[in-house]
Amino acid sequence: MSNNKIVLSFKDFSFIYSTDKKKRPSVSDITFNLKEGETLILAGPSGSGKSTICYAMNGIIPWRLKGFMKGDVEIFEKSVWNYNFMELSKMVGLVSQNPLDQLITFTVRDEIAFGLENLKYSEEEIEKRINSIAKFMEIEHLLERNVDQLSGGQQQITILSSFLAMSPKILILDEPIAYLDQHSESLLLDRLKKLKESKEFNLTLIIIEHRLSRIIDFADKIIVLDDNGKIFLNGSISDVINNDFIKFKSSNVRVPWICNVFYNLKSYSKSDFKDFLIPTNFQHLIKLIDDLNYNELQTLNEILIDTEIKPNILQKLENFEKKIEFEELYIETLNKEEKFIENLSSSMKKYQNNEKDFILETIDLSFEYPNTGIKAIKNLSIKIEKGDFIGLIGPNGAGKTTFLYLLANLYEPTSGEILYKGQKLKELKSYDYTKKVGFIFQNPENMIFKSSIKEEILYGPKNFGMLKEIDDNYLTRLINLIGKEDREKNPYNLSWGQKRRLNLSSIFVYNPEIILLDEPFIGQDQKTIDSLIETLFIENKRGKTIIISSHDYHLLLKYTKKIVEINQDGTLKDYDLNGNYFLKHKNLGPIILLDKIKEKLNNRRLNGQKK
Amino acid sequence: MGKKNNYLDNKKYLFAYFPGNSLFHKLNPLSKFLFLVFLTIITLLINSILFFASIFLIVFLLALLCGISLKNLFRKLKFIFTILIISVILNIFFNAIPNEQEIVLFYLFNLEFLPIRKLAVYFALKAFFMVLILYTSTIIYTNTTNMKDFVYSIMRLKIPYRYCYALMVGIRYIPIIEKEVKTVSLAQKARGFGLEKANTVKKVYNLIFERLIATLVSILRKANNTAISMENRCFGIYKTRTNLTKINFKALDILFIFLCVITFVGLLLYLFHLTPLPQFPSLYYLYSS
Repeated sequence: MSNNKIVLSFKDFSFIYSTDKKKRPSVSDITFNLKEGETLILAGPSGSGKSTICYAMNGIIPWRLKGFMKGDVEIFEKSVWNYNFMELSKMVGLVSQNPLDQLITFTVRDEIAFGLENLKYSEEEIEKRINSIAKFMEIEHLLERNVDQLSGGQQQITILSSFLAMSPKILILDEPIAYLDQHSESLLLDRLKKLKESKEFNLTLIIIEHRLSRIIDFADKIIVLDDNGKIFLNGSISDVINNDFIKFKSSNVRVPWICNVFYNLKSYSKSDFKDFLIPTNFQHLIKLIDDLNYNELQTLNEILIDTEIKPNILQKLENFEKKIEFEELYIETLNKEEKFIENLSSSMKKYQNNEKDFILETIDLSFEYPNTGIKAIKNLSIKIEKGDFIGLIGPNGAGKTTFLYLLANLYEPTSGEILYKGQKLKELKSYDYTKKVGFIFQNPENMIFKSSIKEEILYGPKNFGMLKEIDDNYLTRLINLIGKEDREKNPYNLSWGQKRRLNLSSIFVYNPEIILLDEPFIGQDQKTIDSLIETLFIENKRGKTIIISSHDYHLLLKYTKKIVEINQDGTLKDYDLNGNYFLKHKNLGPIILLDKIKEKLNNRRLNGQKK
Repeated sequence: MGKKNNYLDNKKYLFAYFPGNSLFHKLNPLSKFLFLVFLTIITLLINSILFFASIFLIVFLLALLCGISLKNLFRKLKFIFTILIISVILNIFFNAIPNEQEIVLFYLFNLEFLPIRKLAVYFALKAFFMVLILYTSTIIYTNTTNMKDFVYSIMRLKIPYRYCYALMVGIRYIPIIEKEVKTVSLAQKARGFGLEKANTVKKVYNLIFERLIATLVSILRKANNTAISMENRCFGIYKTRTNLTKINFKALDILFIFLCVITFVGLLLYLFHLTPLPQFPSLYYLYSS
């Protein structure tokens, strides 16, 4: 690889999106090189200029956007100024987050042909390319399908193929897995891996992503930007992980749990495996465990529980409010089996005795879209206890959003019943119930209506007629949740993450008992996600019931107590009242590792006894 | 996700495409369009109510031939029918110019100031049939024509491809916009707005204004992404582009167009009194005896 030529180099690149030179540059002093076939991970908070860097590669800067550019960007050691727009967009492909925004035509074949048609290739050539790409991407059977009948992953692969057909040299993927569910995510990553390994394309990949655990395995370099659009961290993956881990961890990315766990183990123990390189994939890690002794295994076990399964903020919370009970976190009891069983039976008793504690209950809930006969939700019966923190999972299109709408009384069920504290929802006044529920929508901008932050926060209270109850102090505290912002500022001028936090403020203001969140993390950077989930966790400890739909399993494992899983056809797949979902399904790395460690520990114990 | 939405679209929208196997389904969208244009011109030219009625009957039969069931058709026509009935009533009253020396058929409730004049009835019925024919034929057209095929077929007419793609993206965006409007209205409802009926002008204004702004912002953001994705795939670099998908004229189309043209020309000649055939009696003259 080292002999490969340099494909891309940024030299002191800065850009100001304005005709005013004095404005703060969107990115500044960006310098890096990429060689042919390398993969770069680009991360940073939203608004840090990741898109600007992408636009600088594919010709949107300098040809389509107005602004000031300093420094130079070279592709194949030739400045972008020496190319024209067409040459650049042919060489650099860009796949962005939401597949639905990028599809132009109606069928997969047309979509793949789209770029080639624009370049006026002959029909035979286009057919040839479509067929070879489809074969490579394994989508031959989908070619004649309508694009809106595909899953998100298949749509994303279609767009990827559309760019690949134009035989680019550089491919940028802007959070390609943000909108995808687990299955689609694996599908896309599998194809990306295949692409990376193939000699045929010899692509240089740039992936914008902050959840690193799935992609770090096939990446070579990483660059993390800071809030001001400057490079915060830059280097090869192995170098950064092994030599600069603390800085890596403090940057705006989610460090892969494998690295995190192993790094902690390295720094805790004083034994000789300090020379080991930190593993980046699971198989690697499993191999390493074989060499650990009994004590080290136990340390690893504790570290794993501490860093990956128990929320970090528990420590903080413990200092604040000593009286928080942790018994619901099943994993704490995992090692102490006796206590676990004891807890289990006691909690069972609790459920049997205090049935009145259920804040929400659905009985045979079904929902059918009007005039269609299509059921989005079928016979869902679950019980939600006050103070639950529930994760709602299932494939895209399974009806998670519909279910949340039903719980919020935004849709009326076709059949079945929803009970709020034992009372039928139909018999309650809609104002009374709506006041008790806060709903966070997927897109932060879908729930911003007013022209100033203050008015926006007071929107709910105004409608509920409770303006008098909100004093200035309370309002200031809510605005501080967004950051130190002027209360007359227009909400649309806030950053993407701030908008999300504004959504939270505008719900907290009327103090709802139940908070429902529909995929709140999509398109958010790591810091926002962290602060969001921390806020929710604290609110939950204060007694609020929270139901969150997400496909970020690692977050759910860490923070939620129970999981509701819905099938593709809208029926209930699994709901464990005791919150043992992850323990039962074993589909997450940390849990599998825990099992392995436990097994090893048992073996060692037995061996020790024999000796 | 996809399948659900697609099916939804079909059932829900008045002008959505229903796949089918009728002859009309198999025709090229352009030949059908030509038929639609001819029909419109004829409808604008004729003035005999009986003629209108017979054309409507033909269109109605065509709808049945295309596999649109009677029940479905009535459901689709219900809304326009209600409006038309109201308009007929209003037409009859307000078109009755009092000073005109026009024959009064009878007085409603025997009241002097409520004359039902012949000309007013004539105009009302004419408008009724005209709208009904055009509306039904458009429903037939859109129900039997895949929008995809329509876009691809107009691309072959040497219309600049930028306009065709504007249309294509527009069609793609219809469900997206609808979903966005729905989400925004639910977001308003979730925070207590619109739970009770908006009863003041200010409330209605707020409802519409807030919904519009929030929807527009997110749609514009999406449109921007779409534009970037198109530009990245070299859209608009050359004045022409290759078109892989071709919608061709088949023998059936040529036959159909031939028949359409013959009928159209024949009807024109007839309507302009160029044939020896007697004119269709206009309903207006029917009661003049």
